Amino acid sequence: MREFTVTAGAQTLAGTGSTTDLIAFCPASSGAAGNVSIESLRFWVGQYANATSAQQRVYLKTFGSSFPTTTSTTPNKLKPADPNASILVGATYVTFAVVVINPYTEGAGATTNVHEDAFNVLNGWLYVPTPAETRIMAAPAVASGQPGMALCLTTVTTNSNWAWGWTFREV
Amino acid sequence: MNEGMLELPRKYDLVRFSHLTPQPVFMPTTEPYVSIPPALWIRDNENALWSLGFDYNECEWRSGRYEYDIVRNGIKTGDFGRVIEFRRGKVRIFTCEGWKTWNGRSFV
Repeated sequence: MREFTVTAGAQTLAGTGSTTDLIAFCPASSGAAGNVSIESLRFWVGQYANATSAQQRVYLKTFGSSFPTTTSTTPNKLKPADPNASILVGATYVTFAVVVINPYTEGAGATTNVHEDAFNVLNGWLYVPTPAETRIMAAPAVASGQPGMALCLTTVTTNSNWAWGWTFREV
Repeated sequence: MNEGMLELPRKYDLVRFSHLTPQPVFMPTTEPYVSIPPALWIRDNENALWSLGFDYNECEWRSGRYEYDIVRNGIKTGDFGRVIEFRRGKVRIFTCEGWKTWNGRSFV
């Protein structure tokens, strides 16, 4: 098993600029116990404040530097019988082995977009890669900074009542 | 329906999985031909909310495909599928056995 979810509901987006981050995470460093990589199984985004049809850009990106944030969250195990806790923990900024939601600002480092999509806000967005297409972030070396991945939106029309989440497996 | 220790309960925790919660009535019925994925949810003519759950069919996963449980208003319907589609007022799912249509109680 070792499958976990990070969820957020009824959220008011903290970021208001052209980039609005929803989730950011960084695997544990390769020197940490277990040398665990993170396989992303699912991302989803939806809202129920705006009843007007509108297109919304969503994307995944990788980043390479620390990431100041405001909201800590703790991954929950997906299956009730799983005896394990995630190696990722909540924090108020992104460093090795943490996950955060709803950051107010990003770090200054370079980012690379790795998946782009758009959706109608009335229908929400669900990204479920097939088993061969799942994204695995290997445990990075300490010297490589704090590389991680973030789920982002561009500027949104209505900031309130958003829900989003991420399911991952530790491999 | 599978409710073993390795599966999620039949009724999802709607605090944790808030996106499976039925939505306010001011949210409109989903347009025809919308499918999940890439949409997150479908609101049918009865204002029921459909989405893919988190339990997957292990055999299908190992064969390189996914097949998740079908969820209506936060409760598992007992079927697994790859796609949920809203078409001509009907909710259909695509499964490893082909297309099935919701008849108000189950998929046939």
